[in-house]
Amino acid sequence: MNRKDLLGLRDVSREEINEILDTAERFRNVSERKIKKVPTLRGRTVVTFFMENSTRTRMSFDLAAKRLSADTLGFSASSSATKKGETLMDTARNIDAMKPDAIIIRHSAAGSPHMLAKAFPWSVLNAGDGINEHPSQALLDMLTMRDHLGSLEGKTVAIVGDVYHSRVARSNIYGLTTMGAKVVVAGPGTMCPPSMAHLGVEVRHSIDEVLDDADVIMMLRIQRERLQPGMMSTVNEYSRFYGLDIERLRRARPEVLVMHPGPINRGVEMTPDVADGEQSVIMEQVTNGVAVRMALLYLLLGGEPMGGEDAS
Amino acid sequence: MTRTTGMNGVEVGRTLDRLATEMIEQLGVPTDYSLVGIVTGGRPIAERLANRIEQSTGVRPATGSVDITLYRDDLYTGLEKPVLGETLLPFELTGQDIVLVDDVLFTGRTVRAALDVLNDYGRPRTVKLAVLVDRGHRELPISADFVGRTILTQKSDKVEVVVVDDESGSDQVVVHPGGPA
Amino acid sequence: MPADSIVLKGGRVICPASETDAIADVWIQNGQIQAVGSGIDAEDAQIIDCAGSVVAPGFTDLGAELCDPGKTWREDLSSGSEAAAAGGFTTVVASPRTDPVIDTPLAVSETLGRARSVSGARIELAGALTLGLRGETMAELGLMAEAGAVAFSDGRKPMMNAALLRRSLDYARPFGLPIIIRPGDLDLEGSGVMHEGEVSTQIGLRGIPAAAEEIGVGRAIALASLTGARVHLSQVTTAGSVRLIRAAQSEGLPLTAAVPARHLVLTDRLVDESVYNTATRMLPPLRSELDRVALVEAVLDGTVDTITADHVPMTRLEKEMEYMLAAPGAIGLETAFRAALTATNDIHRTLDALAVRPAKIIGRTAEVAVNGVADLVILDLNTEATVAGPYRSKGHNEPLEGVQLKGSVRLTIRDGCIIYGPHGG
Repeated sequence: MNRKDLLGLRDVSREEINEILDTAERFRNVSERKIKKVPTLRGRTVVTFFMENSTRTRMSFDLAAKRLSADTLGFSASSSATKKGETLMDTARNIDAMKPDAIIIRHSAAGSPHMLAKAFPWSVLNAGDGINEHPSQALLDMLTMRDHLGSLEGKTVAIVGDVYHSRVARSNIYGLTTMGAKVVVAGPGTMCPPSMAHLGVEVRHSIDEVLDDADVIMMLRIQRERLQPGMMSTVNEYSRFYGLDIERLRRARPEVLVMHPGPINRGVEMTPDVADGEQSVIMEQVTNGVAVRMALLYLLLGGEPMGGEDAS
Repeated sequence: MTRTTGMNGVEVGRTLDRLATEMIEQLGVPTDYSLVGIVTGGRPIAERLANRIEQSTGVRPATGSVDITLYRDDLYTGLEKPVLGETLLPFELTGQDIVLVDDVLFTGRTVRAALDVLNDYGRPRTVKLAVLVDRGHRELPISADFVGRTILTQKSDKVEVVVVDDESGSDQVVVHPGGPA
Repeated sequence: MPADSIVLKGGRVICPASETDAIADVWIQNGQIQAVGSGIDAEDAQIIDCAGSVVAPGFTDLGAELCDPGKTWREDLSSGSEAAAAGGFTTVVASPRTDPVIDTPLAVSETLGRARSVSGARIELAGALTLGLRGETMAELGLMAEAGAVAFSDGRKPMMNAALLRRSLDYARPFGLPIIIRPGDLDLEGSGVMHEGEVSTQIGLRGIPAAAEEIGVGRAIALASLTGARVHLSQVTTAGSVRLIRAAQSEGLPLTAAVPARHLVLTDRLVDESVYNTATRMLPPLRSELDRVALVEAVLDGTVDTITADHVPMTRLEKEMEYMLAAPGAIGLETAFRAALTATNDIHRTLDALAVRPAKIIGRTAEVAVNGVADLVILDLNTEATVAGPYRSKGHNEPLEGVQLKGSVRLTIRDGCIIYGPHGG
């Protein structure tokens, strides 16, 4: 992988994805040792810039950087700078003056990581931009799938929920189709419109239609707090038509993987017994998150020794 | 400056035999120590030594590997990332006697990094070093306890250990001359 | 204005109004065209060699935003007038969307007074339909007309209350001025920042469906038909809108419409290819290739009568934002002709759409005729150049930057004086 930034999976090749997942496997070992730290990014500065609330993703990135021995710095939405009306570019210029090596940014405006990546020399890692992409989430999802399925080629992955407004879905769709998987999506007509086909996925109309041939069922979170009026009726109706319960799960393949980017609305997207059941690999997704993020930081910031030769 | 040629398969075999004998004499019962090969070159050497020790004593020492990529002390600049190898230490390190094994000992920086890796896994009782070839030009105060052969090289030369097959005697050590002295 | 005497020698004079297309000389003096013919020889006249160039009536734009009064860091009457002249425009009807809004006769006369001293294109005014453009209370339309307004406008804010819009049209009709309306639906536009389609799905931006504009066009057609008012649709950008307008016109409805010049060349794919460049954010947004092709056809067959520069200047700072926060708008006065010519490849239709019909909408004639006002433009049809700054506009938000376009404006003359070009201005 030979790039300065990771802004999305839309333009990432199969080789690069394999490299990232293979590297992440190596980093899983670090998190399993007693001393969960390697000196690789010692002295580098990694800034997490989270303009949207998120404890889990932010912690995961912060931990990844720290386990690589980097120094970390955090900006968040409640930072006074933005409250005072400072623009994103102004804030970025201030951060730039501190000479960081990488910025991990989550922002409600699609395209913000791209804007920073164009303007500054440091590496930009997109931790979620609006409804556009969330590449590290999709990569950890794919690593989890690969652990259980071996290869992603030819597998069928179903994504259910508010697919249109989900950056997790979009990145997964791009990554999975690059790796040769087939992606099918289902959700309410407002959240899963026919135009989704532009992304190369098959649009189906209820969760029942995806159960038969899915190797993986990924349930998306219904973000009630973000929905515009008229997007859905009630939570009750949603879970009836689009929720995953034990009955439905029985109709799927016995080895089907159940995934969710978290946090789960238990009883809405899936019932507790499914969330905590045997086919659920949700906790593995979380563990893989740190490893994938370590791999990304290593691949973006690590490099060939300046001497070039193997100085043994 | 004399330039040494490398070693052919027969010479490599004999050197490994001698190394294994020295290690048996000095280290005692193979259950008391473990051989840890430094990825990538040291691993096959460790395997060959373990085989010979097992042939002679009937007991095989435990083997493992350490990958030092994440611990290198060279400064990093962009572009190509070296592929991460696997660090596999399937035994408790603390209180153990470890023999680090590598194919070529040169500046000593790889060994320094390997010591750091071991440190992050535990606290070995002792760490010794066994190498097939010592080519000089040390940059750190590191020396090997078991040396196969010492060869004189220019710093700009490249020493390549080609491991093919222990049995058939097709391993070899090749010295590629670098630029003029 | 000083009374220069100028002879434009040997150019290809194209006057759509009189269906002229021939090589001729044009003699200008005292702000008027004195003669058009061959072998003109005037004493002490400045001779400008126009061989190989086209001599045509100067262009008129209906609805450029000149931001003056109130937001003059984006543009002011003077810079807007200069930018217009560089694009071949001799008349610009400024939008009332200023701060404060131009919604009283006093504001009209004050602004027109200041406009008299500009040295580029002539500036006329459209008065706001409602006070503050809030869409609630009607402004003094009659008094604004008396004070010199040449049109009324909704300032790009569609009036969502159909009853109020109907009454505005009824009331405005007797004053005889065109009513400029942007067809749209604010609810359906919602938080959209680009065209809703394949590209918006791929790059994760909220979209504005074509239907939002088509609903506005439908409303305007129905109410224009009901009231008989002279409605001009200020920006039409979708194939669906074109179909609706074509049908309405075939039934004889005197509805006029304009397409932004850049929409004849650019599509929504540019938002993707430019990697979220905010110069591509505008309202109405750049549409799909299918829409673009339909718009070019509509210009060629006359369904869409006029081409507008759709000039909305913004400063660098206002655009140096995340896409969804960047103010929508693009400058266009300086590139409109080039975009139009490149897309249509038809100089007659281009001149008709940029000069003749817009002038007619505000009751003027754009022609190269003896005793007519000397508002002329000299054009080169065969040059090809990449769009680049520096721009005369204060705004720098030009989405056509880097695009290769055909044609160029060599010289612009207004009231017989050179307002743009190497020989003066």
